[in-house]
Parts: sequence; C-alpha cells; structure tokens
Amino acid sequence: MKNFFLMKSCKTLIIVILALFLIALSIYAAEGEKPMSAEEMRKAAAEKAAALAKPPPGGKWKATAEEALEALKLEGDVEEGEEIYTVCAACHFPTGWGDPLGVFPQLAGQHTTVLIKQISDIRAKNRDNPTMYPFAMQIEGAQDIIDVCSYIQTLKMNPNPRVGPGGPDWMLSNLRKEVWPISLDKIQQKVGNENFKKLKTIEEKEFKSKKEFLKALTNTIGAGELEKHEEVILKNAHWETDLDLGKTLYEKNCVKCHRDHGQGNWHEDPPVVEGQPAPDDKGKTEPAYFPVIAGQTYLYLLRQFSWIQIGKRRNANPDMVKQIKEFSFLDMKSVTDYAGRFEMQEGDWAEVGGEDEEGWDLGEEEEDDEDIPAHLRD
Amino acid sequence: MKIFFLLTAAFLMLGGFFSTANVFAEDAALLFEKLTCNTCHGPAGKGMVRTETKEKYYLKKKQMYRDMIKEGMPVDIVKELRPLYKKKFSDREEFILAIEALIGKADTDKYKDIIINIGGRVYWHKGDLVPGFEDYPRHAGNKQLYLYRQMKDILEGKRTNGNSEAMRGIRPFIDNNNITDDDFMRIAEYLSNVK
Repeated sequence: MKNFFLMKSCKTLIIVILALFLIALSIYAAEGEKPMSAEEMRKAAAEKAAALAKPPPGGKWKATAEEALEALKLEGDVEEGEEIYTVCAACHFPTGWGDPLGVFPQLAGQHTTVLIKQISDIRAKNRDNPTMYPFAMQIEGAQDIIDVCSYIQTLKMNPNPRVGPGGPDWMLSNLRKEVWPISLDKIQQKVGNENFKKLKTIEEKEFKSKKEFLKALTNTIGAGELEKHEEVILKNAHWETDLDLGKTLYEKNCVKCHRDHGQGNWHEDPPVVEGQPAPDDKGKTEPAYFPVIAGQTYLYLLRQFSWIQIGKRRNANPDMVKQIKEFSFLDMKSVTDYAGRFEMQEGDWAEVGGEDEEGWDLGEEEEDDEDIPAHLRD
Repeated sequence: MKIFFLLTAAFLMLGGFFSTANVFAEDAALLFEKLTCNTCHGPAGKGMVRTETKEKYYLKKKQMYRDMIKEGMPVDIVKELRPLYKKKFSDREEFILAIEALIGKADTDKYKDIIINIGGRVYWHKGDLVPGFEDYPRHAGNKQLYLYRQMKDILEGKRTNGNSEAMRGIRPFIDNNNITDDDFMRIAEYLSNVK
C-alpha cells in the first residue's frame, strides 16, 4: 500500500516536472519567435559592420575593415554593380557627378581603392556620415562593394565640374553654412532685423569685386548703415580665392600623395623595412588610398578639407591632418580651388579587367565526349 | 453670341482651376522626390519597405557551369544548359521551366537546387524592411501640421534626436532648391493625404 502511494507520488512528480519543462520550453520558443525591435535590428546591423573593422595597424586612413581588404582582392561584376548603384544614384545621380553644391560628391572617376575604403569606413562607423550610413548598410558584403565600385569605374567624369571662383568673390550665402561657419544668418543679430531683411534681397548673389559688392550693399542698406556694419558683413561674405597661392600650397604640400595633377594614387610600392632585404616580388604593389581631387566639386573639396582640419572627418590621413593644421581659410579656399581645376589623364586609373573570355572547357571529364579515342589521348 | 462667350470664359476658368489644382498636387509629390525625401522615407512617404520581391537567375559566367560539375552534376547535363548562358530570369518558376525544356523534368528536379544555388540570387522579398532604415518613420497619412513642424524643427536644428542628423546633412541641398515654408506645408499636405 505504502509502495503504491510512493509510486503514485513519483508519477505525479514526474508529470509536474514534465509540465514545467514544457511550459519553460514554450516560453523560450515564444521568446525566440519574438521579432527584434527596429532599434535592436539597427544596433545588430551596426555591431555586425563594426565587428568587421579591425584595430587600424597604420592609422585609420588605411583600409582596415575585413570586408574592404577582401573586396580589394575580388573581381568586380559591373552588371551587378549597376543594379546596386540604383540606390546610390538617388543622391549621387545616375551620372555619378554629385550635385553642384558638393553635398553629394562626384563618384565618377574616383579610384576603386578609395571608394572601397570610404564605403567600408562608413559601414564600420570609421567615417561619420549619418546621411549615407543607412544606404551603405544595404550593401551585403565584400562582393557587393567591389561590384558597385566596378560599375562606378565605368562612369565618365563631369566635363564641367563646379569650380571655385578663381579670384575675388563676395557673396552673402546661407547655402554654405556647412562648408565654413560664415553666413548671412550669422550677422542678423549684429546688423539688426531691418538691415537683415534688406540684405536678404541680395542673398546668394555673387559679386566679382569688392567695389561691386560695396556698391550693392550701399544700395541695399545705405551708406550710413554700411559704415557701421561693414566689417562684420565683409567677414561673412568673403569667398575670394587666390590661385597663385593655391598653386604654391599645392606644390609644397599635396603633390606627394595627390600627385602633380590631382590624380591621387591607387597603388604604391610595399614598404621597405630597414635592415631587411628588399622583397623578391619587385614590381608588386600594394593598394593606396589617395583620392582623385581633379574635377571634384569645389565646395565638396572645401568642406572636406575643413572637416579634416578640425578632425570631423576621422578617417583622414594623419600626415595631412598635421600638414594643414595651420592653413587659414584663404589657404583652404585657394588650394581647393586650384586642385579642383585639374583634369584627369589617360593612365591615371588602374586598368579595368576585360570580359569573361574563358572557353567552354568544362574540365577533364569533358574529354570523354571528344571524338578522339581514349587510347590515342596523352 | 454673348452666351457663347460667357460659356467659353466659364469653361476656360474651370479648366484653368482644375489644371492648376492638379499641377499643385503633382508638384508636392515631385518636390518630395526632387529633394530626395523618398530615398529615406519611401515612395510617397510610405516607409522603407520592399514593395516587390526582387530575384535574379542568371548563368552569366562559364565558371558557373564548371561549378555545377564540381557540385556533382554530370558534364552532359551541364552542357545541355549552355543555351541559358547570359539569359536573365527575374522569376524562379520561369527559370525552372527553361531548365526543364533543356534537360527534362526528372533531371531538373534532381539538380535544380544546385543550379539555383549557383546562378540565382534573391535580393529581397516583398514586405521586407530595407536594411539600414529600420528606425526611419513612414509619413503617409500622418497629420499635416505635425509633419510640417517636424520638417522645420529638424532642418532648423531645434529637433536633434533620432536620425535628424541624417536629414540635416542634406540641408544645403534642400536650401539650394529655394524651398519656402509654403512648399514644406504642401509636402506635408500631400503626405497626409496619401492612403
């Protein structure tokens, strides 16, 4: 009788344990099916891309993300790249020329190594670009990166890119706030609302001499008011560049990497380590990431230049950051105006791979189909 | 005669009114695209969700045929698939039918997984969220005034949370199109009326 009760309670215990196990299992399964929230998905995607970035061995300006290093070794598929580019075309335009204000840069004509590095840097949050970030996250990996870059390589550059003023230039602009912190809005408090309203009538009008600009200001707010506010107005409208100064600065500071006509560089000799013999594979080069600046939109170059100087563009070449530390606003405007006017030449780019020229040789097994009798073959 | 002129004038006025109204309605939709808003908020502000499935079946490289042999397909059958070289299919069933026409149903059933694995790519399915945009809002059907205020606050830097930085990144591009408050209001009105 005692055994009977013992057995019965044992059975009950097993049933209870089983039931508890099933309940726990169903809770676990239900949790497993629970979809990720948008924030979780975004976080997971960001972590996945960031995980691909290794600690930079030679400064963050070199390609360090695993997917970038892999993409550099792969062969691109132009057709596939064209499909991927439809996403990019919404902002960079189907031509790849970007917009005249340089909010979206020209991609056409850029070296593939540079494009690969910039895309993977944005994906790995090594270059802050909140506008482009979600678009970059649509790329599925190294093969997609090289595919889209191969397609971009087929695009012809803008034959008439927006260049700088190339001399005196005065303009009350609010469209350039992001390029450099001077603007019409900035002087509103200093000149007062009445004057500000009047100055708005010549907003974005470009004047090619200081005399012309002062005349327009006199006509707008009157000589008396101009006298009071001349200094602050001129300071916030001075977009003049000096191409001679730009040439001197370019030749002194930029030629080594961006080369004599802004063609940049996509390959360089492997580094020679002191005390060690030169490598046997002489002539073999390593990827380099010096961008093409020839023909790039002036305001894009100027904006990026200033961002590199203040450290906002984090993935820049550290040597450049040091070199341009003391550049004045006039220096920056002048050197970017000068460099943007260069034109690319034949031989400045890496050679593009040819078509798929392989034959229909489907391997050794195919030989069995040949008409040659087996005993006559090698 | 007088009645004829009156009727003609009335007709022209009505025609003018309706065509202007249409132009305005179309304008806001066009402006939404011109300012690239649709690239982050989806067509007509309906959010970044795939509206159709995109897939491609494409034996574009001879290497793909070699890969089929590597995966265990007999050379004879692989050779029979040569007419499919560089032919693009955007539908899986059509691709399978084309294979069947060349090698028959039995072999298609046997080897279709290998062939599809090598020559096919599914980019996305209808209804998938577009990666990267999981936390970007849909605007279609939202309140006009709310949409207008968000646009203004984000671009003026009063609202700085969420992905507002991404939108401010293109502010010069927006400004360059000489957009007025009325334009923002019209875009808001257009979005609020999208079903």
